Amino acid sequence: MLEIVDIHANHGDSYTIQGVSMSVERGACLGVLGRNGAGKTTLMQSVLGLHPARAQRITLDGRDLTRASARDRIRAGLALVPQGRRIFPTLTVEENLRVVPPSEAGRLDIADVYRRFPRLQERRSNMGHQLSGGEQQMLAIGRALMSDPQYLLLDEPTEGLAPTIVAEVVDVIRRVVSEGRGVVLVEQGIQFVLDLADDLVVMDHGKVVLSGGSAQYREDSGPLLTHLGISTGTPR
Amino acid sequence: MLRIALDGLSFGSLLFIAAIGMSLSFGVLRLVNLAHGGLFMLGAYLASSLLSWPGGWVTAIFGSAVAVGLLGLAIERGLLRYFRTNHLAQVLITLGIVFILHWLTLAVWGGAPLLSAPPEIVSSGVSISGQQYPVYRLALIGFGLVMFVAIWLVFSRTRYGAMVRATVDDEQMARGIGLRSELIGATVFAVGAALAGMAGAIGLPYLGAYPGLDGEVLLFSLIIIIIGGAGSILGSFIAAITVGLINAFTAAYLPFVSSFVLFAVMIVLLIFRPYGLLGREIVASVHLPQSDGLGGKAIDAVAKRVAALRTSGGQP
Ligand SMILES: Nc1ncnc2c1ncn2[C@@H]1O[C@H](COP(=O)(O)OP(=O)(O)OP(=O)(O)O)[C@@H](O)[C@H]1O
Ligand SMILES: [Mg+2]
Repeated sequence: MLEIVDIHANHGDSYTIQGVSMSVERGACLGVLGRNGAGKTTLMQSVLGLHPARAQRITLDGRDLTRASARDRIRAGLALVPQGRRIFPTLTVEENLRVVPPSEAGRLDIADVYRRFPRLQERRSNMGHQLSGGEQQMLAIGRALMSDPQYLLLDEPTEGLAPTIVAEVVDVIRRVVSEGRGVVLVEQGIQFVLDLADDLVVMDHGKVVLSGGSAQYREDSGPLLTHLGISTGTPR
Repeated sequence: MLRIALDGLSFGSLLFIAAIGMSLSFGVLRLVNLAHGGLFMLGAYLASSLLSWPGGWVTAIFGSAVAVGLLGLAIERGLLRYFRTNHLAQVLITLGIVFILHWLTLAVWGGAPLLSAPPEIVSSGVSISGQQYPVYRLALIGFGLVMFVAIWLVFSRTRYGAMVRATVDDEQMARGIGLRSELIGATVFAVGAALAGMAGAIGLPYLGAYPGLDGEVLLFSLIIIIIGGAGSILGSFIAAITVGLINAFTAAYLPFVSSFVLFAVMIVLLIFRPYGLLGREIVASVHLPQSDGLGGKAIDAVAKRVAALRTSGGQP
């Protein structure tokens, strides 16, 4: 289990994460919902150790990572697919994958990543900046999988993608979960999260305002809609 | 004509090895290192002493490179790493190092200019346009080319090179996949310093070693970075060769306006290519102060220029 207990973070003077706790099991998916500016990205970056944060406790399969650096957290089995993809634009597709250092679990075979994303293999010697948005997202997910993580954090992986590619991303996430990895999925689209997540948390102003199993909200998404304001059920 | 061109090419080759480290530190670490010329000068002085050691030139060149590289590593790990985003602090610290190196070299080697004969194997001359031309100068051109190709291969073909480029592209994300961008930056700085030291050594029969050499090399390096674009290896090479050629031809035909021409070229280039020949546009992470009026506009222009010099991790 990946467990985060009472994490806090700032952006300068603004207190953007105000004591969030959450956990996800291996082979399960936790959905994180929240409006723009709720603090989802800051939370993901804080969990990975990219953004300075204070937490009471962060453990990965029982191992204490509260004070660990981003590198050590990644080595222990965490990985992030960041919002906006952030693949390295001047590296080729293959370099974007190869540059990832192995974790303690080792490293995925590049061929394995190409099997998941055949499109990437075709474009292996293209530069990152030459890829389409969908291809960049595939590469961002492939890059995160390279270190063979136990827990994968995905920050709005369908943002700005065409519906057919969104469907592909859904398949990829399902497969990652079925392989026994834990997934934390940040999304704006309620329907998308309800389809994939076992549990979910809703954030607002840096706090968790609602949490629980997603099954109950599949019947009645009213409470979610209330907490998300005008958010509709379709992914952006 | 040909001789002047060869002079320019050999000077440019030497400048490339001298400047590439500063360009990479600037591009990769966003680190302003005013002591870069001082490192070159130290390399030259060290080589002048190491020449009498067993091994002669081989010892002098590699000894200077290693010693100056280690000094660079110490400067980065001991001082500059704590001021990664503070350019003013970097300027002050490296300026302090300039003074220390100045006094150190003066105390150890004295103020008289030192020059040495070129290595035995390249000490002869070849006949070019009816006159003898030193083989040493031709060797400099060859050496510059070899270094350019080697550095370019390392950066474009190896995993280490990919790690460096990833760090330049997006430093935070490089950490986000588990790279130690801190250490990667430190190695780039140290290698850059080593190359400066090496350039000082191989340039000893040409430029010599004297107080003030540091300032001249620093100025040329800055011009090369501005023309070539910070962090660009090919850009630095083209810029260094261009600067070398302009320097040689103006010195031969327009000796009184030599440095004027160099700056004029730089300014014209900046008007058309603000980030240098091969520099990339920067997502400026500096917040420029708002200002009005003519004076304000001028300050803005300068501030933007400075912002343009910073290469930064492109955050989409
Ligand atoms: N670099 C920054 N500097 C200052 N404040 C920031 C910065 N990045 C984010 N914030 C602030 O922190 C808060 C949380 O931002 P965050 O990006 O984590 O939200 P989010 O839920 O991911 O939003 P979105 O859905 O738009 O991605 C916001 O109020 C935002 O304005
Ligand atoms: Mg976000």
